[in-house]
Amino acid sequence: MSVEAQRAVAFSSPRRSLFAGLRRIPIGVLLLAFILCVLIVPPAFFLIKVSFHVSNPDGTLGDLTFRHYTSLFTERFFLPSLINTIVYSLGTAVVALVFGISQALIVERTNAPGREWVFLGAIIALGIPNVLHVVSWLLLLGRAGPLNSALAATLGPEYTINVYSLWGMIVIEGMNFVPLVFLLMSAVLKSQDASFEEASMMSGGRPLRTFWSISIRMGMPGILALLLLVFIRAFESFEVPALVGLAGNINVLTTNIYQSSRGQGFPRYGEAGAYSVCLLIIVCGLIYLYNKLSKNAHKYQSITGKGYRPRVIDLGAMKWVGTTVLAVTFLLVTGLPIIILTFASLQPFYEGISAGSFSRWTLENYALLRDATSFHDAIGNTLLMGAATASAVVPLTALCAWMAARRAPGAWILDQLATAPLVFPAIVMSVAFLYVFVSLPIALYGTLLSVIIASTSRYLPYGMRYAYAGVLQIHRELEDASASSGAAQLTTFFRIVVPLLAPALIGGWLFVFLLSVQAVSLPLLLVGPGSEIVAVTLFDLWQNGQVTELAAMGVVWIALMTVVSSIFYYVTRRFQIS
Amino acid sequence: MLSVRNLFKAYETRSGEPAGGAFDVSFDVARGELFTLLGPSGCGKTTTLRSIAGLETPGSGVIQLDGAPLFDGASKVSVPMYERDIGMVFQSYAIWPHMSVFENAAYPLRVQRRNRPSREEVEKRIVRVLEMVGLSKYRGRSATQLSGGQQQRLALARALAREPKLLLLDEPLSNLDAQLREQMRAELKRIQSEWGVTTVYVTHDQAEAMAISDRIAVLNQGRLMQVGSATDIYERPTSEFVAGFIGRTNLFTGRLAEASVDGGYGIVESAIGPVRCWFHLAAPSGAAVKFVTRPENVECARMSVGHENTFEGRVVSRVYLGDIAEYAIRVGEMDVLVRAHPSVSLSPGDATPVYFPADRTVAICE
Repeated sequence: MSVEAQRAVAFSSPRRSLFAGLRRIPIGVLLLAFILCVLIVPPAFFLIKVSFHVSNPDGTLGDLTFRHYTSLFTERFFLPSLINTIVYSLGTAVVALVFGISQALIVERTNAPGREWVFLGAIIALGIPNVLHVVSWLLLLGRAGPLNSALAATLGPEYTINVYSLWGMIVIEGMNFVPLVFLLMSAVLKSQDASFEEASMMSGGRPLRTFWSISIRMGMPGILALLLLVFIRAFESFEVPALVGLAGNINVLTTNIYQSSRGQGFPRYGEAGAYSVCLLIIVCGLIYLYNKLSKNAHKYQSITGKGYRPRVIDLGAMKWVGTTVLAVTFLLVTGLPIIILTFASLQPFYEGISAGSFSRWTLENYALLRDATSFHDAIGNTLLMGAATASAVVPLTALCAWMAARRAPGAWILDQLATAPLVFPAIVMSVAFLYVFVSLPIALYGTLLSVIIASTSRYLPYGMRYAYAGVLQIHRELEDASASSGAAQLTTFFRIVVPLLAPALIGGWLFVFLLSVQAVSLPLLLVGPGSEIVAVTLFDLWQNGQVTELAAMGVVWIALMTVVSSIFYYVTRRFQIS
Repeated sequence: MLSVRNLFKAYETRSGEPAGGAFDVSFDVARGELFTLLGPSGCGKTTTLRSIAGLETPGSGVIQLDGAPLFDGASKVSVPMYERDIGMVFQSYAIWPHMSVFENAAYPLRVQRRNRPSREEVEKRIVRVLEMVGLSKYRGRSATQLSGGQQQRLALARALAREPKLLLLDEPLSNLDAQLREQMRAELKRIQSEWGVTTVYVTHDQAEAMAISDRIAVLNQGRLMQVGSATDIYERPTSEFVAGFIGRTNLFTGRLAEASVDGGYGIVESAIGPVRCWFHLAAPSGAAVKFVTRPENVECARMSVGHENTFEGRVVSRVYLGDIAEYAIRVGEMDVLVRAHPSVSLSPGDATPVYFPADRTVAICE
């Protein structure tokens, strides 16, 4: 049948062609699409439903209403929160980019001694849960922290700083994103032929001039995309707004959602839902923008074939300046937080660093951890949750990615579905799953399983990215050869695709594991007694003021996670996974 | 003008095995000369060039430009690359995509620290250099809109913009297609001689090297094998490598019948019989020597019968290439490659005399 004739049929009987189209889709694709829908549709559905209904004090839903939305825009809370969110996110992005890009330039392009250690720092940072990072910064910059006591001692008490402020949030969250920016930017620089910079140096351009006129300006599309990425991540972040912002009465959208669903009095689900939907829409728009920008980001990416080799720019005597920049950044991002945490964990109570504190060492906090079954449970729960999440996400996305990459009929929808959760900020996801679980007739709310389901849904896009990149590296003909040897499709998948994909899948597994065990905001509203999670426990300990126990628990956890992130780093390095 | 003395630069793989570099490379380049470093990939030619540019730091050796040291391993002098007055054209051209054609070419003048030219001066000089490479009408165009050949010209214009003492060209034609390559080759040569700029040129293409260079240095495995004009290198190779790398060749082994003198003739006893050869260097009687002769220098005309260096052969195969006919002719145990005019018509199985002219049969004593 000609194309025109097909079209004519399609137009004349849309129903029949839809049915015929559906029949052409392999059963595997339909099955996967169904599983993905089960993971994604209910939270979205309940979120929207709740935001349009009156919520009763007992948690049930009342009549249809637009009140939640109208009150958002009439109350004085929304606009200041939005402005705070924007200022905070933009500030964070700028701080993270300035430090991260300088680091990447020095590491990838110069001969500053010690540059190869920066990756190690980034890996350790990858193993520090966000909540611990925030807490350690609060210990450093807080009222009793060493900085303020030094300021008070030298300049007088009126010169102390208040970290519970917008700039405090920006600095802390900015530092938090430095490793991410560094890793992404160094990937950008790696793919950029260094002869552009060499040409500048050969034209008489000095290193700084070369970095500015060539490296930065040429990397601009990528840098803008990176700026927007950090902006989005900060926009939907929760730990810093909750731990720093709330204490200083600085509200952003994510903390508004949190307070509505777990504030004073009974939870205002409808309000939280309306906030969430707004946040969702904004993030959707931002991600759309990001996708457009990042398409542009590779505009200047040059041939990486012939004659390509990233080379090192000899800084001469200035190389020690480079090393100093690296060392200071490392200290700020990884060193100081770990030092202060370790210090606090060895103190009977935390009062900053003073002469007195050096005579009060104790291992009491660690002894407490050793004996507390709740701590052991939390670690066990968290590892189980992380492993279960990763084990659910990886096979599911591997199949989806394979079908999508091989263009099975209808498989494009799998790609779309599996990346859809990206638009849900974690706290929104948390609220949405909260509704799902309280509405279900089965008692899932408060169980570890509920956290695993929510995490699986949340981290689908990350698994998808790893799997997709992995599949794209496998040449199609390797599979065709298997098929022509007489293997059925599923046999080909397990005998050819899976073994070749294994490194990418292991990398993806570890990555999802690392992300899911460190998340606070997703499990925060879902966990109950008996399903404690380390990150949430740390969060609660801080709220209760149990700083030294928190520090001890944090140190143990960081040590554990550094092992995992080192394995992750080794695997990705060894098998060249991007 | 440029002098390179005992340049050492060794590379290692991650596991510590040696991975190329340059070993004890020395040469001089005269003012205005186009000097080519030629060799297969990994021979150290690019390493040598990048050491001159300052993009690599040699392990030891001395590099001097106009009498002033750029690098001296002994006294730890190493002038940073941005302070060496050298223009360079990269293999990938490295045309900055975020700048216009004019801005690309003007960059070297704009970043100059000492006596930076005025705006008008920059304008005047860049217009001139763009005109010379034929890009003046594209001056406002974004560099990404240029074709490969135009990028190549722009790279050259940029390298010449500040009128450097030395121009370095790193395989500048290797990314162009064959037709354009020949055209650009001629143009490069024209511009180079018009500007009279001293130039070091790196290539792995021997035809390119022969067409363009005043002098050629052949490198192999990091070592300098031979330096000389295209004719020297082609007709009087001093090593088996040079003979084999540049063009095709017939190689024979034998023993010197009596001692030879520098630049004289000697008889070599070989498997096919005694052959009179030309010698670069004196060699003692009885020394094991090899000798080479180019396929186009071997003659199989009837009239050479009875001449010295003439042997009986039998045609093994014939390949007709249009402008030339290639024969494999068995002489004794050896197959000799002969390139003859297509009018010479021999068929496989035919007997024919084979003559090696003594002045084009070169002995190699390594």
